[in-house]
Amino acid sequence: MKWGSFVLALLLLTSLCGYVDAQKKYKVGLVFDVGGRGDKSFNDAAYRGLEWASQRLDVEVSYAEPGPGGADREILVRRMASSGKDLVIGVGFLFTQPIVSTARAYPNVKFACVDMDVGSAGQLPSNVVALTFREQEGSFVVGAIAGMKTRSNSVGFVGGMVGPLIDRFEAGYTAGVKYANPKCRVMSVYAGDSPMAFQDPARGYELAVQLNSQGCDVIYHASGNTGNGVFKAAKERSFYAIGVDSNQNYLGYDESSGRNWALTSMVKRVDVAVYLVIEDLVNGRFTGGVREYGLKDFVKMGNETYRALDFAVDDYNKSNLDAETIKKANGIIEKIVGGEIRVPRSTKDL
Amino acid sequence: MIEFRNICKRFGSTPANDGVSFSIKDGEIHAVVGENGAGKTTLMSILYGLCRQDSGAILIDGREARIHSPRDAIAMGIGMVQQHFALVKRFTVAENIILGQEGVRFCINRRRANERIAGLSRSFGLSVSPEARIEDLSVGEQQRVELLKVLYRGADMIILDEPTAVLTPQEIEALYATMERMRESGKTIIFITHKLREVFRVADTITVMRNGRSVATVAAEDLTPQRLGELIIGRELPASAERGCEPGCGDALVLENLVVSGHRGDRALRGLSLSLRENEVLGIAGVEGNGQRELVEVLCGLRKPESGTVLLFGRDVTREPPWLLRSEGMAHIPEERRNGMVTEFTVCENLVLGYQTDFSRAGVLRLNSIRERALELVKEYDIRPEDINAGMGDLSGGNQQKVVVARELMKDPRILIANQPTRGLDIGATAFVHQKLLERKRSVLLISSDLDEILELSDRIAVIFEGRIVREFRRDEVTLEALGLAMMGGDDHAVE
Amino acid sequence: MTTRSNRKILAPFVSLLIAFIIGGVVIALIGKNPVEAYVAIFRGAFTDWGFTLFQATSLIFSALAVAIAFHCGLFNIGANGQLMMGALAAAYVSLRFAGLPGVILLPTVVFAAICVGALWGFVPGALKATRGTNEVVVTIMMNYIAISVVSYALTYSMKDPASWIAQSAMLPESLWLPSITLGADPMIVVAVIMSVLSYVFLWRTRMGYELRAVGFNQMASSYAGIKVRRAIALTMCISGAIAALSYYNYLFAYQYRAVSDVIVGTNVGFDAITAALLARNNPLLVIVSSLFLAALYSGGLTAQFELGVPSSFYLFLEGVIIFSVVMFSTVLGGKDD
Ligand SMILES: Nc1ncnc2c1ncn2[C@@H]1O[C@H](COP(=O)(O)OP(=O)(O)OP(=O)(O)O)[C@@H](O)[C@H]1O
Ligand SMILES: [Mg+2]
Repeated sequence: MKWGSFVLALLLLTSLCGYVDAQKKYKVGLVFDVGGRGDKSFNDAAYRGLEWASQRLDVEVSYAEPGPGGADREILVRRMASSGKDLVIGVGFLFTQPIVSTARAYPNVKFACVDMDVGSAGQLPSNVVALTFREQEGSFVVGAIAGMKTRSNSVGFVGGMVGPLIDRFEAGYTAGVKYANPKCRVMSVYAGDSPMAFQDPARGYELAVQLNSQGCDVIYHASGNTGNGVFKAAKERSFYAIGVDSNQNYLGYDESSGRNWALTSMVKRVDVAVYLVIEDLVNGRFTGGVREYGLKDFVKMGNETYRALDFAVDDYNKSNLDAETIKKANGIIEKIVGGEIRVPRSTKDL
Repeated sequence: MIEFRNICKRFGSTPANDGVSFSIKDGEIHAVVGENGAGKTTLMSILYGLCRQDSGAILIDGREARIHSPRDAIAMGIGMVQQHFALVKRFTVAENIILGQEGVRFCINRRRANERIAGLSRSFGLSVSPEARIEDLSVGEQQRVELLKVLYRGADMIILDEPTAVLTPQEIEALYATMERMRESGKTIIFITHKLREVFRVADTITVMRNGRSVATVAAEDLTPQRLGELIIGRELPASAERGCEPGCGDALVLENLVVSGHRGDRALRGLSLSLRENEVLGIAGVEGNGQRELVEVLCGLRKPESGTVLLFGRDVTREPPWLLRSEGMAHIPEERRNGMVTEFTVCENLVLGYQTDFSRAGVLRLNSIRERALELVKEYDIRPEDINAGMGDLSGGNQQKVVVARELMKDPRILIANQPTRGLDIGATAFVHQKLLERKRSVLLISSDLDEILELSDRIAVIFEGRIVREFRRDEVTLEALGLAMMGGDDHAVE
Repeated sequence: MTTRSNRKILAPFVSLLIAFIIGGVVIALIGKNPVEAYVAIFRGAFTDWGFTLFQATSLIFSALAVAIAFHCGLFNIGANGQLMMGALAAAYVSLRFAGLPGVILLPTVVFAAICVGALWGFVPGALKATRGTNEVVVTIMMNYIAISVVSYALTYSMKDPASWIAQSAMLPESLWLPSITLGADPMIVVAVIMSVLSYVFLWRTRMGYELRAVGFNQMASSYAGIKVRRAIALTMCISGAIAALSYYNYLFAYQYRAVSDVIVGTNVGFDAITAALLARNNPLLVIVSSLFLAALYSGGLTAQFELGVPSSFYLFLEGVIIFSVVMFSTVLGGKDD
């Protein structure tokens, strides 16, 4: 078969080319979660972090996204590892298992998992870093803003699934509200006790309406898609909502009145985490284990400073946050970074 | 004038048409006759553009016609009524007729269409209501719709493939009348049939086909039925079926007071009682739609009666399912051939349909014995082509019928429900099947729209009218007049 | 004339070629080099043939389920749900009886998966048989029910307490199959055997014969005394039982636990429809078509991170393949002039 050998030669050639132009340049591979780029959330943020790194750190990046269901997460991680990457990053807790098992097979490759489910991972191999966030710190800041902003002296919290993860949000938020406005009430409700509780906007709407009718005029949600219902209620009933994870300020925009009911969003900057872990790699400071990013971690790109956790200010909500409030909030951030304020990790520590 | 010049068409290795040459004069009724598988349908499909000949030419009015599709054929004024009607069941008659017409673009002028249809029905004696839905029509009426469709498109050469096979005697008469009217208005009619009496009743000219060739084209008045039969099968006609000894006197099948509702919800059988003796042939005569269909369905376990009993060799099988009846030794040749075969299966597979259990051991088919048996049957019944792996759908209509009959008789059933058993068979095959039915090895309940067949085969004739048996005749006492009268319900000496 | 049968054989290849050309044009339109992309797909599929085989294994089981149902005239859109329930049952039983020795546990687990899958097929089958309900609608509904049942079970009763992901605990090690990274996973052998068995079943057994007769002509089948309803219900049971094994390798040779998101989000039961279509519902050809689709999928992953060909390209190509197969099988294989 002439053709067969021709194709074979072609293959060999292409793979050789791959090796020839490989100078010593760090190679980073990133695997998105199902959905990939364009989700206006973690995947997009992770991609931004990757872009920063390729601009600033002179690394070679590539990325991929799993198919429906994501049974191929592990395959993608493996292929990345076997194709000579120095660091492979998985975006999202569903990469926990795939990364742990691949890391065992490729001890010379480094792995990072955004939002890793450390509990189920067992003993972490030394070439794996779990990228997690101190969400309680960011929640504390938006809690303080809520406390400053409330007129009725009662604010609400809508959590997704009951459990230690969202408990951190609630604890930070409650502490923040009390810090800024000790007289203020915080009413907390949860959408459910299963991961489904993150996928239920109708329930979110219901809960937000309930809280609002009991007097809450600011509601913070930490409930994934369920939170879309909270924003819907906020627009309909004219109260403030606070977004979570990525900048959700645009969700509060009410076209008919032109008003925006998003007070702010507690952003968890996956881009910062991704960038920082790549930076660690390039600087030879990569270590395994659990890495927690908090208010003190940031990346400076040009004039902008991006904190790993932050509250969002943009065109949508600038009319809702006056300079005074922003200044106070930044002050609180300084204090947390400086250790003056201790943020509780759990509602038990309140 | 249509002229076929040396038309050849092969399917795989079988030559279906192997040099057909004859011509059809304008304004005549031209019958095409011949054995099963002689190539009649194939020739007509070529003329109508359903398939292309491998070689040879069709000349219309002396010019070679290139017919690549039915569309071309229609444009040349050729229309065809196929054996299986191409009607949309949910549509009305009028909708079906104007469906796919040239000139119909977006809006349909219903009033004008209806007027034209009404005009056509009147002048050709094709009475159907334009607003009736196809699904509510009888087979005969559906055929009239097909004819109207062809006429509506302005065809003046009309092909009818075995039009009378599915009709009742009355409908056949009406069809002849229509055909004659068409001839009067200058249309040419080509029709295929296996019934020699019909040929002489209406045809002007007859073409006989054998083994893919046209062997003779003769004016009807120059022929006798005897001579035509010989032309068709290429040798002398077989003697008519011999009748063996007298039937037994035990009861094979007894029906008592059957009450059954029909497929339209009304009462189809209203207290029907009947008995069939061992090794007897009992003919059921009746105008279609008087409960024959439901009677057969009940007997085969396909329809549950509301009351009454069915005794099979003394055993009550009133509500038993089809498979149980089959295992009790009952076989059934269905009225509609496609209910008796799976077109997508091979001939071999069709020859064991319903007997697959007998041809398997521990759930595994015994392919060797299936093949052996299939080869025997193909030989015995002269099924063509002789290839047991041929697709059933590729067989000619008559050969499909032979497969069904062969299979149903294969296991020597004790009782056979034979519903139009010779539909589509040529004279030779018909005679063969008749002989089989008279073997006196089994009881036969014969349902046929062909009164000649009933008269020839039956030991007794039961007349069904409005869901009851109204009269029984012994073979030696029956006359055609009395039978006809009883079938119309006009008989005072009803049984009981 | 042999042209007709030649064309029938040719039809899938021609339609694949056309699909590839259309796919190439689309790749070019998004600014990548189609030749490079196809080379990458090819290379990806064959350098990691372990995954290609793995993916093919799942596809074969589901595609057989679709194909067998099709022979009985049933369109089983529910392979996805049957697969999910089978996976859930296998995971549940293996965890529940984790203490049993492997030799006893293995057949128990497989049996449980098959039974639950069969049940998931039986419901639409029985509804079709007794009530005439359209099996397409019912199997789709059953898919949704399966999604709910699986996510409920893995979120509550079967959830690994140490994790906050909706997933089961690690499955018992006694059932672990040699990992796919070693190249082969024993389930591919089982899948191939199953294809052969399905072939034998359809063309060599009485039940297969009856099932095909019912598929072609229900009226003639009931006239022939075949128990049509039973055949329909039974076919769906068999179909479901086979589909139920689709994710066995995912559980015991790959992830070693049942992850709700992955099981619930699977698309194998739908890809299987394409595989069955390409194979013209022939169980032996299903092996080929599944391998082909799996290779395309597996290679697509590599093309994705090497060249940035979007992951949706696979789905796109699959759609084009279905479309062109349907188009060209009617155009080429349908009528002879
Ligand atoms: N599509 C096909 N594929 C293969 N063989 C075919 C096909 N159509 C017809 N034949 C064969 O061609 C021959 C002629 O068939 P045709 O239908 O023309 O016969 P016919 O004269 O109409 O017979 P009948 O009186 O039984 O209807 C038969 O041997 C048949 O098996
Ligand atoms: Mg014919």
